[in-house]
Amino acid sequence: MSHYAIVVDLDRCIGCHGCEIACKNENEVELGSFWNKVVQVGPFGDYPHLQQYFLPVMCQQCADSPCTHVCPTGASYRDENNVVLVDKEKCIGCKYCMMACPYGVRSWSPSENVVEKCTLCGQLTSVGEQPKCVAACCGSARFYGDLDDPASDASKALAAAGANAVHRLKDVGNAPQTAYILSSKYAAWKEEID
Amino acid sequence: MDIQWSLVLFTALTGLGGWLFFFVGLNVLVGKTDKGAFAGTVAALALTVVGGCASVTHLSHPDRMLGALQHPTSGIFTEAVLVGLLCIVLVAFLVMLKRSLTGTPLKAVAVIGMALGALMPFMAGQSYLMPAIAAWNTELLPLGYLGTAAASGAAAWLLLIAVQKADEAAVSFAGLTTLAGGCAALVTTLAYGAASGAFAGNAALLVGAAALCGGAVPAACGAFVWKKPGSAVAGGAVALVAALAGSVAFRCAMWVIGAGLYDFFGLI
Repeated sequence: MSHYAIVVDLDRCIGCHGCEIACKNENEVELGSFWNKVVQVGPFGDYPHLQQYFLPVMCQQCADSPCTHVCPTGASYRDENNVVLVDKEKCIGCKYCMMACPYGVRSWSPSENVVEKCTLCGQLTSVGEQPKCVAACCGSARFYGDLDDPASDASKALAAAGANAVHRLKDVGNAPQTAYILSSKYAAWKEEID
Repeated sequence: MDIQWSLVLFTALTGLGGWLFFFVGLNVLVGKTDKGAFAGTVAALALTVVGGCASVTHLSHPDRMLGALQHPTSGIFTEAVLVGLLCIVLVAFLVMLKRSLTGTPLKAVAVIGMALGALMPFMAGQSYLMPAIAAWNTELLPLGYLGTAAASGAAAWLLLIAVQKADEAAVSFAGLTTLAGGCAALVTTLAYGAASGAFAGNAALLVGAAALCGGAVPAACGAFVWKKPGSAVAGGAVALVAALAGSVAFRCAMWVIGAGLYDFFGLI
């Protein structure tokens, strides 16, 4: 079975927020809501040896997704490619999935009163295009693809980076699939983020 | 996390209603008094219905709630089923009382209602167990829900039969059960507060209030009435108000200390 996700090369991310804006434009994400957000980590360390990196965060496409487990109506579900999605027609607005998400990367639509989230731009990928955040990244720091397919852009980026440079957000049993590449020569990966 | 008042009221009121019926049923089994059964069941039913309605106000699309039938493993589904079953059993119990049906059938329905009522707050608390929120992810949380609801229900039963002028032996026994309920609330609240780290944070006051109002005061009132059943109305009233306040405080504390692993979008 496929596991589609995004890989972000933090060595190349310049923190321009372009992915954030592209996502908002493409998916008409409302003011104050996010499907993708760039978080600044740091600066940390002792002067003059300070480190900092930018961490774009979105749905981590967890293999054991807590959001789909707690959803009472099945509105949060996984499709045939293991992409975690929300069927807005089924969402009752209980927000349990937002509580259950370890990363707080689910969003609330004030106009529709339902939960929404990154869809990996299914409307684009279904016709062979890249998710908008990937296509818009001026640093070519984002890669999309099936992590089970060694020929996908995402798998190639991970293979090229080497295991020591590949990181994932803290796992509390949910097995996040979204991966981040950060080389120690640029910054140390921080699991705890203020 | 913001206090979700709809859910606080839902769990506090259905817990109170469920445990009030627990003591109605217990009285059917032990036969301490012939007072309070009908009024207690009506009150339990009203509390369960009002609590259920409070939970609906939390939802933005309650009209889609039937979709839960397709996903019957979630906590919300369990809560909805328990509320529904409890209401059905309470109505059946009321009908049996009206028709003066006694003996084994009434006891059987009472036992089913007692089980559902006792389970109600525990399962409501179970809904919040999730690895993403460490402060909630302990079985002590549903036990706290259960303990505070038990104290509230016991105090409500004590007040009810005291107002209906039950004999002293029954009132004294209700005082004893209120003492037990208060102790359960006190122990479970303190245990959850310690395990979740709530005493160290900005919810310390709320957890302290939950332990004092929800546990210590009902326990003290129950002990007092146990020994001096003549002052049961005042003791029961104080115990009920304090227990309900403690029950609400415990649930508010849970929301205040609930923080996810990360909150990147800042929406929780």
